[in-house]
Amino acid sequence: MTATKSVARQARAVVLLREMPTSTIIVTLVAVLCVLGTVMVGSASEVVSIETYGSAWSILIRQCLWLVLGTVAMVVTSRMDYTKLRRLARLIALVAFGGLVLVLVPHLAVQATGASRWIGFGSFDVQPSEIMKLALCVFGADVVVRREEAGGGDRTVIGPLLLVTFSAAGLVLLEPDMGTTVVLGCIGLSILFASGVSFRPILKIGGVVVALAVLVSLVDPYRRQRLLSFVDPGAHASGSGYQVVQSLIGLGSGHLFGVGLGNGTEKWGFLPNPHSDFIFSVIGQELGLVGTVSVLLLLGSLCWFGLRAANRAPDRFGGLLAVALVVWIGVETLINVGAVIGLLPVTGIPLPFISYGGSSLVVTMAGAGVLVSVARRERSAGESRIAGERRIAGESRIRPG
Amino acid sequence: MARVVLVLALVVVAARLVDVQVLHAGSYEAVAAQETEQPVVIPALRGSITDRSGIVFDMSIPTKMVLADDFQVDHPVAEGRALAPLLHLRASTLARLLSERSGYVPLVRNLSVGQADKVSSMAFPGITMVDTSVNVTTDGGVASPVVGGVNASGNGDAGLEAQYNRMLAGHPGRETILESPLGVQLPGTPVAQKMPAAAGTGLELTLDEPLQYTAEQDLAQEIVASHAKGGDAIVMDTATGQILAMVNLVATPTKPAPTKPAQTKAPPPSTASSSANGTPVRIGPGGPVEEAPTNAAVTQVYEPGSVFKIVTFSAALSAGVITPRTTFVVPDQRFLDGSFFSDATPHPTEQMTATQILAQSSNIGTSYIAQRLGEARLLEQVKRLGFGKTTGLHFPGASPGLLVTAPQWEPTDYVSLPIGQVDAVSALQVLDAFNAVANGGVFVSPKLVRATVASDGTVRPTPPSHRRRVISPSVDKELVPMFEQVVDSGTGVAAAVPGYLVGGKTGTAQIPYDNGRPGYITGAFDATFVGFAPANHPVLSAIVVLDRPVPIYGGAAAAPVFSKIMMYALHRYDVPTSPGLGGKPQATAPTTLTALVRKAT
Repeated sequence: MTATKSVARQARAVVLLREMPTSTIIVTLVAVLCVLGTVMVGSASEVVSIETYGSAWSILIRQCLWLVLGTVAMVVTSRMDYTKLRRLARLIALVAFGGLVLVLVPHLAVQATGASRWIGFGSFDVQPSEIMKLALCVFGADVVVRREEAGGGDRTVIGPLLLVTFSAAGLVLLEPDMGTTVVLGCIGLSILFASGVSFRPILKIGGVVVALAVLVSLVDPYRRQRLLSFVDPGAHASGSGYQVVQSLIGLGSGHLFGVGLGNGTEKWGFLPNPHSDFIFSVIGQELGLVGTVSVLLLLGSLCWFGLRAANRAPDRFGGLLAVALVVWIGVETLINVGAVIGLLPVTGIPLPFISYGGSSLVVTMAGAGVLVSVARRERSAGESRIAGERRIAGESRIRPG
Repeated sequence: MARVVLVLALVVVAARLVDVQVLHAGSYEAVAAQETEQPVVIPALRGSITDRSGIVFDMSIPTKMVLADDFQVDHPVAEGRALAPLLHLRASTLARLLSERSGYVPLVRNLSVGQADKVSSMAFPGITMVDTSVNVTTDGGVASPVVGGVNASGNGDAGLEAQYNRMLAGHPGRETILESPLGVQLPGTPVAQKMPAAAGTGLELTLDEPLQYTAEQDLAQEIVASHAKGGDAIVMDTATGQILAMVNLVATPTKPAPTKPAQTKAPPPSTASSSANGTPVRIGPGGPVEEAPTNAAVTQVYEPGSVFKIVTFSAALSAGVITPRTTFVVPDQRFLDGSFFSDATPHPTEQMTATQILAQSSNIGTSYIAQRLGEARLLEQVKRLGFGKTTGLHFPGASPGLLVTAPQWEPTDYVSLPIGQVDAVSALQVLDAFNAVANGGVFVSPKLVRATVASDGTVRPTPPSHRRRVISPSVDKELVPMFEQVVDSGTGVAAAVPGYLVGGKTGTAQIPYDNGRPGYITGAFDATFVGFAPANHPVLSAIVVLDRPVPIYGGAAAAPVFSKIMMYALHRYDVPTSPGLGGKPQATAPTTLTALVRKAT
C-alpha cells in the first residue's frame, strides 16, 4: 500500500517538475548557488581578507557588491528578448576581442602570479576573457544560424566559427590562461557539434586541437610543471603539487559532514586561493561530502535544466545559445572541481556562481540570465517532444540532447 | 548524448569525492592534524629551597610573558600609552615595538601575575600572555654557594639547584594547539591532550638561616679585618651530621688600591682579629666581601696544616703506641732525609707529653709519634677518618681529596703528612673527622637536605645519615681532653667560648702553587680552626678556614671566628653550659641538638 503510494507520489513529483517552467527552476538553482557561494566566500576568504585588507569582511563585501551587479545583469538579460542579442553579437565579440588585446598591452594590464588577465578600473578589475565566453556563445550561435539561413554548406559554418574560437582561445592562451582557453574551445566546438555539421571535419579539427593543446602545454615550463605535478601531486607536495595536496587534505579532513562552517583549517594559509580557485576544497572541509555533492548536484541540475531549455527552445538560435551556455557552465565546473579533486591539472578557473571573482560572477550570471531568457520562451513539454520527433525526422538539424 | 556525458562526469567526480572524503578520509585527516597541531609546553613551577624552618633561600614565582601580535594593533601609539604604566615601559618604546610589523613581539618577560591580570582585563587586541616563572633568591643570596643558581632556561646550574634539578624542576605539562603556517593560533582550538604541569618538589635544608647569616657576618668581618682572600665556615650537628651553616666567602677584588700583599711572616697579632664591631658587613656586589662562586668548603681541597694531626694522634692512641701522658724529648728542629724541619715557634729542647705536643702543635714531636706508629697505620687512619672519598653529600663537584699512597711515601712524610702538608682535603672532610671525635668516635656522613616538600605540601624526611665507628670509645675518651687542652692552654685559646668547654685544633698551612710548580707560595697561608662544644658532651662541631689572612695563624685568624659563631649557636640552641665553668647550672641531662634546634626555630 505505502509502497505504491510513495511511487505514486514520486511519479507526481516528476510530472510536476516536468510541468514546472524551466526558467523558474534555473532562477531558483542560480539563486541557491549564489547564496551558498557568498556564504562560502565569506568563510573561505576571512583569513586572506585580514592579511590583504586588514578586515575579515573586505572580500565578502566586494563579493556582495559583485553579486548585486550580477543580479542586475541577470535580471536585464533574462528580461530582454534573447533574439535581440543576434543584432548585438558582432558588437559584443568586437568589445571582447578589444579587451583581450588590451590585456596583453603591458602597462594597461594588471598582473598577478605571472599572468596578465585583468584590466584595472579603480579598485575593481575586469577580466575580458570572461566577457569573451558570453560573446562567443552569442556570436557562435548567431553565425551558425546566419550561415544556415544564407543556405551555405557545412564549410561556411565551420570556417568562421573556428576562426573566431581559435583567435579568442589563442589570445587567452597568450595571457596565459589555459583553463579559459579550454572553456572557449569547448564552447566553440559544442556549438559546432550541436549545429549538426558532419562529424568528419570536426574530428579532424578536434585532433589538431588536442595535439596543439598537448604541444602548447609541454613547451611552456610553467604549464609543464603544473601538468606533471597533477600526474603525481605527492612527488611535488612541497612544490607545484603542494596546492593539490593541500586541497585533498582539506577535502579528506572534512569527511562526511565537514568540520563545520567557518571551522576549516586549510584556509589559514595552507591552501592557496581558498576563496577562488579552491573554494570547492573549503566547502569539502567545512561541509563535508554532503556539501560537495550538493554543490555538484546543484550545478549538474543547472546544466540538466539548461539542456532542457535548449531542447524546448522555440528557435534554432535559442537552442544553440542555450547549449553553448550550458557547456560553458558545465566545463568550468568540471575543470575547477577536477583540479580540486586532483583529477585535472590546476588552471585557475573559478567555480561558477560559487568562487570569488568579480567579472566572472557578473558575466556568468548574465549568461545564466540569457539562459533564463531562452527558457522563458520554452514550448510546453509535449510540444518540444513533438518538435524533437520532427527534428529526428530530419526537418531540423539541431541535436541538443 | 549531452545528458549522458553530464551524468557520467558527475558520477566520476562524485566517485572521486567519495574516495577522498570517505574511503581515505582518515589519512587526509591525519595529515591535516599533523599540519596544524603544535605541541605547547606548559612550564612547571620550580620547587623552593628553604632552611630548616621554612625561610626561603630560593624560590620560583609564576609570572607572565606579554606578547604582541602587532598586526592586530591598529593604534600603536594610543595602545602604547595605555599599556606603558602597566608594563613599566616607556610609551614611546612600546609604540615602536607595537609597530614592528613582525607579528611576534615579546614586550615584557616576567611580569607579575597581578599586573598581568590588569593588562588582560583591558583586552587589547593583539596582546597575549604566556605562563613563565622567575627564580628569586631572598636574603640577598645568603648561602648561595650551597643553594646554587638557576640559569635562564630554568635549569639548576650549580649547587643543590643542579644536584636536585630533576626533582626541583617538576614535570612540564603539555597541550596541543592548532596553528596556521604563520603561527596564528586557530580560533576554537580544541585543547587536546592537555596534561597539566606538575610543580617541582622543594627542598628543606638542614641549614638554619639565622645561624647561616650570623656565621657569614662573623667570617666576613674577619676577612675584612685580616685582609684574607676568602674563607669557609661550617657548623654541624654532631649527632646527626646535619649541616646548620655552610659559608663560602671571597673578598671582593679591589682593583685600584694596591693593598700590600700578605707577605709579612710575623705580623703583629693584635690588630686584625679584634676589629669586629657590631656593624654588619655588606656581603654581595658593592660590599667588601661576596658569596663565593662555588661551595669551596666541599669542592676545593687544601693542605689543612696541623688540624691533620688528628690522624696521627687518634691512630697512635688506638695502636697503643702512646698514651696522652707519654713523654718525648722534643727539640724545635730536626733534619730528616736531608730536609730541615722546625716548629712554628722556637723553643728549647724540652720534655713534652703527647697532650702537650698536640696542644702546642709541635711538628717535631708529632713526627716522633708518627715514626713510632709507622707508615702503614698512618695511611690507613687517613682513610678511616673519611679522607680520600667524598663525604656522602653527593654535592656537585665534591672532591674526594688527593692522598699520598704507599708507593709515593718518602721518609720526610713522617713530618709532612702529620702536619697536613702532604694530603689535600676539603674543609668538610676535616670537620667530619673532628665531628667523629666529638660524636664518641662514630663518623656521621654530613647532610644538607633534611626533607623534601612536594607541591601538595607533603613533607618527606630524608633518611638518616650513614654512621660508622672509626675510633673506639676508650680512645675517644682520651682524645677529647687532649683537644680541650688545645683551647684551654695551647694554640687555640682564642676559640674559647665563655661558659663552655671547647675542644679543637688549629692549623696553619703553606699554600702550594696551583700551576704545577713545586713548592709553596712565599708568605701564603691557610688558617684553620676546627673544633666542637661543649667538650664534656659535644653537640656542635664547626670549622673555620681563612685563605691568606694576616695574622697567618689558625689560632689568631680562624679561632676567634670559631668562638663567635659557636657562642651564637650554643646560645641560639640553648645548649646547657659545661659544669664548673660558672655558667647557669645544668638543669637537665645533656640533650641532643635535634631537640634543641626544634626548640629554637
